[in-house]
Amino acid sequence: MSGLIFFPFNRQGADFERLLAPYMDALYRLAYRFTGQRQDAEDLVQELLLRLYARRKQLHQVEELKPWLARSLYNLYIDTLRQRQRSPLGRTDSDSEPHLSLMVDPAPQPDNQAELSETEKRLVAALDTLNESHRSLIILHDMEGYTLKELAQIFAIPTGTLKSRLHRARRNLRDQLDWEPFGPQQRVTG
Amino acid sequence: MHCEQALQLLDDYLDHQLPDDQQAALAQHLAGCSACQLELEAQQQLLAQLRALPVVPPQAGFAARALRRARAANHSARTVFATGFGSAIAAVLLVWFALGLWQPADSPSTSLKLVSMQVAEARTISLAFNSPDELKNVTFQLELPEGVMLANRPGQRLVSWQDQLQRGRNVLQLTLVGQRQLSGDLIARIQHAEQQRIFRIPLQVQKRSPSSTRF
Repeated sequence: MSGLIFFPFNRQGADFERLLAPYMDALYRLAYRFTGQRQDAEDLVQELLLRLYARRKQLHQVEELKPWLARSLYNLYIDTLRQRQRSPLGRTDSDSEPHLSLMVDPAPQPDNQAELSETEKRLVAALDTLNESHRSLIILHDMEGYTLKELAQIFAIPTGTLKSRLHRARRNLRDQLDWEPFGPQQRVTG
Repeated sequence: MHCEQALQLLDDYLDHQLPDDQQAALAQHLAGCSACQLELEAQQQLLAQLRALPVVPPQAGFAARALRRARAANHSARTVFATGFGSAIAAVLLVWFALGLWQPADSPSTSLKLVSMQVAEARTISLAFNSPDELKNVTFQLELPEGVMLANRPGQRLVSWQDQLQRGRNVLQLTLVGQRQLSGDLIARIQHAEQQRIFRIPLQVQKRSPSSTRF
């Protein structure tokens, strides 16, 4: 049996950890889906936590934390991508954001990425050709199981619009896989 | 229903979003159209393959470590950035000691191993106490040397509070920030009834080396 002695002025921090601990697995999975690399996923989640800690009082007022956290992670991911695109070196290591080295690792560790079959490589390559809005929708809904209702909260758009966008995203993905209805290549194989 | 109409409805069908009447009409069409049925199966297989794409697990202990770092970094950021330095890695030092042998209040203290840090570095230490019994109304007191502060209690060198100890391992986590070069002791007193244990944790704060600035 073990316990934590609460240094009284650390209680808020302990609350923060208790509140977010149940969501860490989902956050990491989502970050990995976005970034495709373990180190980048860990950096993204770490950066999110750093920012959330500063707003920890707000967290207790959020009714549905899981989609709220997913939206926060998504926003941070998109912000980081944009910063990277704006930077002439494609880096995000400005003084204001020293913790995040998202997607700039020039030599990823061998165990940083999953080993994929040829079929999986085709799928990932097709996903990577989609725009971020479509790619994120497929990641969140089709891969990580966020419901349409949760996605409507995440993206702050009506469910009908969301469904149309999701269907377009899937159609684009199938196009990238040279998918034709009733065609012989409709099975995704390597 | 024609095949073209059926294909338009497959996405909603896959997401269980079709109204009952359309669901029934589509099911009827699928039952009599092997091409559309195959298309549906192929799209279901694609979704299954997407869900099955592997995720490399994070490094062992990542979740707990990341949460701790968020807390430590935020506390240190408030003080450290104010002095113009970058923040520092919050390393964790685990110090074990047993509380099995309580001593009279005037007993000598137990010295623990040296904790080194750099000026403006936030250093998280975890003190692990092993208590043979559950104890209520335990008084904890921390006395800091001048020039070292608790990250969330700037300017306060003497802090005391009451809590309880569980039987077995109990962990007290503190984030210290060195403000200037020094050598001194952090004194931790744990008191229960008429008995207490005193621990001295030697601290050494060194001049900051430029290469060590990172999260």
